[in-house]
Amino acid sequence: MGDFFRRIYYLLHRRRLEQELQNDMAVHREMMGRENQKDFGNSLLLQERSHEAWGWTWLDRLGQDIRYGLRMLRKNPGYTVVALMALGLGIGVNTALFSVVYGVLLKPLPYAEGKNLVVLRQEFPKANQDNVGFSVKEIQDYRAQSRAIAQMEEYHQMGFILLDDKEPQQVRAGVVSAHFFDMLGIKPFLGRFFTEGDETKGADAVLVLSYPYWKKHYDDPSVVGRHFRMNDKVHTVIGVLPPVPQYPRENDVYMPTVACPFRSSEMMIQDRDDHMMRVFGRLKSGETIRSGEADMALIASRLQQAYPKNYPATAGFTATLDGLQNRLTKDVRPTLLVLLGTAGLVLLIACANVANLALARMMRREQELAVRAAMGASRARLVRQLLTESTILSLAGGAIGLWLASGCLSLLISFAARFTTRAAEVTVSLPVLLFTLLVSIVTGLAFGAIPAFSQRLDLVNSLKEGATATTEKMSRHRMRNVLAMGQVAISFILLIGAGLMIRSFIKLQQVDAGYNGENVLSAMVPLNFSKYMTGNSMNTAKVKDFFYRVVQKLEGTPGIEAVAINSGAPLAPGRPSNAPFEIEGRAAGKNDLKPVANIEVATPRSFQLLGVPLLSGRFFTPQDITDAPPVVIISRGLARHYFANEDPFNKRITFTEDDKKRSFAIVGVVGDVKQYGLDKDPVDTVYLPFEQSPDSAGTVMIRTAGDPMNFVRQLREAVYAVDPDQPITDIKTLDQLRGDTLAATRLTSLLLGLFAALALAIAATGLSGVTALLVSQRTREIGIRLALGAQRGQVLRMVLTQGMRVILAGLAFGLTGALLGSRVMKVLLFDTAVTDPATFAGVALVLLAVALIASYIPARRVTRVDPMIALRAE
Amino acid sequence: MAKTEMLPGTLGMLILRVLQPGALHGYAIAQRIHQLSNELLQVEEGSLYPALQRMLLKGWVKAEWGVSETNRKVRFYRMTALGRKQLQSEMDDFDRVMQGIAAVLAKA
Repeated sequence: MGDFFRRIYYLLHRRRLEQELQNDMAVHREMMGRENQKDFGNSLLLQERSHEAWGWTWLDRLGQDIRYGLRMLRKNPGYTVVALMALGLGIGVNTALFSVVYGVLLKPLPYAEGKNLVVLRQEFPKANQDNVGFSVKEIQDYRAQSRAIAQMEEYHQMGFILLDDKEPQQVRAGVVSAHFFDMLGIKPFLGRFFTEGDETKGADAVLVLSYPYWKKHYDDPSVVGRHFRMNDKVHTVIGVLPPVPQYPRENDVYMPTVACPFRSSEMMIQDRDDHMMRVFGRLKSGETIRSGEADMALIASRLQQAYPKNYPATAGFTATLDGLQNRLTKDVRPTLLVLLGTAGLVLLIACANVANLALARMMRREQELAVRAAMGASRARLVRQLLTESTILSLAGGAIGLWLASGCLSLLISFAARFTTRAAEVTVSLPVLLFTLLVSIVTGLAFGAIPAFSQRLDLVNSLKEGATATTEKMSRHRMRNVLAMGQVAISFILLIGAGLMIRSFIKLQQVDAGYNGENVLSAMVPLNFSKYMTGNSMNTAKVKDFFYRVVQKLEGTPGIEAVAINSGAPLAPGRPSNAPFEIEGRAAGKNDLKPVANIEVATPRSFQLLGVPLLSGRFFTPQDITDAPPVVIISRGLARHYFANEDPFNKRITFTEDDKKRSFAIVGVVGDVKQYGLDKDPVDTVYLPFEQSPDSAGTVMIRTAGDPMNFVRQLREAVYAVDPDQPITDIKTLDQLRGDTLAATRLTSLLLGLFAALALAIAATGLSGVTALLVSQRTREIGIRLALGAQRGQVLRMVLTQGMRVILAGLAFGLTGALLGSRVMKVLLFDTAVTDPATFAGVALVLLAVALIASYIPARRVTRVDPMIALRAE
Repeated sequence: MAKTEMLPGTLGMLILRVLQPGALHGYAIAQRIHQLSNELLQVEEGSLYPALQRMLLKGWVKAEWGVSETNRKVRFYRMTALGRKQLQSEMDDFDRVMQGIAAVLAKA
């Protein structure tokens, strides 16, 4: 230990101690000189050898190398700038993507023991119902029986209406059981979280605000204790959450379960089949996801035995769980990994490009290195010098990359936010900095090693001025060709990735969703359930009255051509509501599964407004009133599935609600609508007339003359005129809604396209460089050919053919690589094969064209060679 | 036989041994070893100073300022307690090796 500290001491006082040693040796020499003139030897060398004992020589040498390297880089600004640009871009994209990958996929959840947090899941796989949620009864059962899960807390989401602002606001409320936040192991940012007391019936209504909501609207600690008027109650703010990711989605506020009238209704509490809640859990310490899964499966099989009616064998019933971290990031993982891989390839191209530049520069530095070698520098020392230079360059490139990355990070964060609520956690953190440092150093060593080790010291030839092309130079030339070929190959792979993604995007964009959204504006009008409910169900008269008055106001507005009330607009975000139905007169086995259909509410104008075609029968009419026979319209898919060989108009279907059967006559069949995603198949749908079943209505749509966005004000005014406390949210045109569902794919295509373009540009400059060098090295030979009567066209072809060989070899390798690698893209693609021949052919053509142009430009110089000058040149 | 080569690894021990009576500067160390060895051993400066730097680092000797016989400021090297221990163990090792060598030479 003393040794270590003394070493540091010698490092810090190096200059003084060197002088003292020098003095010692000077005195020694003097005293020796008095006696006899024995030679002391090279005193400088002796001193250096003595210093070596201190163990800091390497540092001095490194300092020398760095100073020398910086001088060399300053002397070659062209090379330095080009290399810095390529490296900065390469390292920059990697840094940016790694910070997202780290923040979203790698960083532990900001909850205590986040790896023990799980999301529970129930499924009826044979009935195609995945992730159905949990009923109150089931939550009680799992809590009582689980062996592996220490704590389970429930969650569901509600829309509440905040009445304190100028305009009524819809707030997203997460409704959670009392110890939900304790389970996450987080501490309140302000105030406190819920207690059992808050969850008892009749307790004062309390609220916890989410951090982003608080930050956006209040940003003031005094918010705790404030009163919010929401729906029919006054709620008191008791606390604010810290900034943590929220799953399954972000909420503005949180409330205890008693705050939700549906959740606390006796009917919900007793109904085992009402799967409204999500359940989160914390594994006991020592338990794993696997043992948790086994635990869930065991309980599920017990439930199945105890309640065969609720869990029919024909539906299949499974219960399982996933790690919360996994669930939070599942959707974004494949995209991020593909993007990071792509960024890695871009860096590889940048590396190959800079290595190529460095090789070209080495040819000019041959003499300098030979001189240094002749003066006694060892080969290792020269290699170290060259590696130091390249590492300086790559570290500077890393700094530029870091700057670029932090500049465009917010863009990437908003991109990732489309997939995961963890996106908010992405920052340039310490691990990201370490990653950038590591990547920079590895990059520097990688592109530095190629020229440094291809350097064979051929002193005699190098020192001779004007030494002609030696075999060594030829081998280096081969290396340059290999590097250029690699760049072409990687560009090809990247272009294929981008091409496939873009093709998939175009296909998605061209999907016929089954409706015509042109000039249609939609808005959600989530009714205040406290106001429009009577007892446990919506007051249909009130709901109808509200919407009819809104429709009346709008229909009188000039420029509005049609108005419709639906439950949801096509492609609007949100979960479909569905229900099992029976077909009357069709014998169904006792345990047979009932078919399930999505339930949509529509007014007589809805179908024409959306341009959904009537295939047979009729649309709803104003005659389908409450007292008239109940009717439904079915989608084409449903008709095909269940009435393939029959006339559906002779059949009736039955829905069962609260043990009461309601029977409907089928009066029409309409075209399928891709309601929930362009990449998803249309779902069997039953349309109910608003007049007869208005309960789930919540969207107003208007078809307008001209730009629908010009009618936003009229829409708002119509709603506020009917009920000033009624919020309007998500005012969007149908084209915007459609665009939103494409946004993620569009952004992914854009990023991949950008990377591929970057790679192509870098590779093109690389090819240009190779050809340019080829031309300049063969100037003399070309001169001879021209002097002997070769046509300039022939010579040009000869040079281009050589370049073509590199390009074609690169294409061949790229093709192989792309065929092997493109399958990782599979999950990202829609209706596009990973080996899509059109994409491969197109990309090959583009690359070939760019490569040809890139080598043609420098090759053209041969046609300007003057044979006389060329022959004199050497 | 003016310049007998030093046995490898013994220079440190010799330096420590001549420093045992008191501190000496570099030239004096070389001189002492030369004299005491009946002028058989010659310490090259190229070995002496690197060796002294190593011993400073190990903490076996420390340097202090003094004035030489020629009236020049120069560093004197003094053995530390640690150096004394080192000298003892090196001498013991050396004795054992010598005994071994002697035994082989006598019997073979």
